[in-house]
Amino acid sequence: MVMLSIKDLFVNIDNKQVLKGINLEIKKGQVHAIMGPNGSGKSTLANFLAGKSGIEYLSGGVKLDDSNLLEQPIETRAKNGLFLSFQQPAEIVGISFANMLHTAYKTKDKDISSVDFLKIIKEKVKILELPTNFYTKNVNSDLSGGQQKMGELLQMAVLDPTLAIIDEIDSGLDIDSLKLVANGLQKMKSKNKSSLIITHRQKILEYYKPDIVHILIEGRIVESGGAELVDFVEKNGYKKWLQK
Amino acid sequence: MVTKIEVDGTKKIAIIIDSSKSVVAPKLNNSVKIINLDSERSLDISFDLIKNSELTLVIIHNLKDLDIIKQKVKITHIGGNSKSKVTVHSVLDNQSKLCFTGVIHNPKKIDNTVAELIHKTLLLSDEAEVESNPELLIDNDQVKCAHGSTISALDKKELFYLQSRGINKKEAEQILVNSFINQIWQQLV
Repeated sequence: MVMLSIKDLFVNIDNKQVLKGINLEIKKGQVHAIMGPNGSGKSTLANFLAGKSGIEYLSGGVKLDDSNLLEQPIETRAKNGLFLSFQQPAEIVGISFANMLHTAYKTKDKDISSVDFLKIIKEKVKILELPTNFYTKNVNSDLSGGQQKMGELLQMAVLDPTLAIIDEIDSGLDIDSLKLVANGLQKMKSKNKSSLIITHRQKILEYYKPDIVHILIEGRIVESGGAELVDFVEKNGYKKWLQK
Repeated sequence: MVTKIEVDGTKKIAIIIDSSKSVVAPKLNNSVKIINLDSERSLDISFDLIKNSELTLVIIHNLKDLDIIKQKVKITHIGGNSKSKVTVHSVLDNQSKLCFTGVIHNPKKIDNTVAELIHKTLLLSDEAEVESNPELLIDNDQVKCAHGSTISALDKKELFYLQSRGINKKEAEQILVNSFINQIWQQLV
C-alpha cells in the first residue's frame, strides 16, 4: 500500500525553480530519508507538502493515501494524517503545548474533555521520556533549540500521524538530545505509519534507520538506495553528484 | 469626566475594555485590582503617584464590530522615587476604532522616577483603525522614561504552524489573539 506518492513535481519560489521534477513513493510502514546539501530543496519539499503559502505549484501530483493532497487546505492535510515537524517551530507566547494540542486533538475527537486529554498527553510525555511537566510549557517560547525539537516530537506523538515529515529535527541537538529524539521516533514507528526524514547529517540515521535514502541535489532526486548511501555521504559528501 | 486614582505603595491594576466579555482574567494575586469599563462611562483615567509608590498598570482593549473607543490615560509622578509601568494591548476586529492617548507627566523637582508606557495593537481586519498617541511631558532631568507603540497583524508563520496541526483558520486566529492577550497578564505576576 502506498502512503505518499509524488509524481513529477515542479515548484517555484519567487519565480525561481526549486523543485524540478520530484518523483517519490513511500509505502506504508516505511521510513524514507532525504539527504542533500544546503539549498537543495529539502525544506521546500517538506513545507510544500504541508501547504505553506509562498511556494508556487507548477505541475505534478501528490497523493496521500489515495487522496489528492494539493486540493486540501492546510488543516485538512493534517486531519488526513500528515504531520510536519518544523525545522524552526513558531513561538506562541502564553499558550501551552497542552492547550494548543487539546484544540488540535478535538479536530479528531471533538468531545474529548480536558481531563481525558491530559491523560493522553501525560502518557506521551512518559513514553518519550520528556520532563514530566513539559506539556505545560509555552509553545516553543523560552525553550532551547533542543527543547523545541522535543516539542515537535511530543506533538507528533499526540496527533499520531500516518505520514510524518521530519525536517531537520537533528539540527542544533547535542548527542544526548539526539538520542532521545531518535528513540522517540523509533518508538512511534509502526507498520501502518510512514515517515520522511530530512537531514543533512548522518548521525540521526544511525539511531533512526531509514529503509530508503534519497539524495536531493538542486531540486532533483539524483539517486535512491538503501542505508549504504548514508555511509557513502558520510565518507565522500555530495561531490559525486554535484560534479555531474 | 476624568476618574482620578491616587497611587500609594505598590499597586497592580488591570483595566479591561471588552464589549463581547470574552477576555477572561487568569487567577491572579488578590492584590491585583481588575476594573471592567464600558464605553457608557468615561474611559479617561488619571493616576497620581505619590512619593515612593509603584504602579503596574495593564490595559486590554478587545474591540469588535462597530466599537468606537476613545481613551486617555495620564500618569503623573507627583512624588519622587516613584515608578510606573503601563502596558496596553489592543485587539481590533471588524470595523472597530480605537484612539488611545497615554501621557506620562513628570513635573519639575520630582526626582528619581522611572516610567514606561508600551502600546501594542493587533489588527484583525483591514477595516479596523487605531490611533496611538504616547506622550511624554517631562520637566525634569532626573528621570528614566520610555515609551513605544507597535501595530501588527497576525503572524503568518504562526498561523501556518497552528493550521499544520489540524486547527482550522478561525480557531488558529483565536489562539493567536489569546496569546497576544495572555502576554499582558505576565506583567502582573
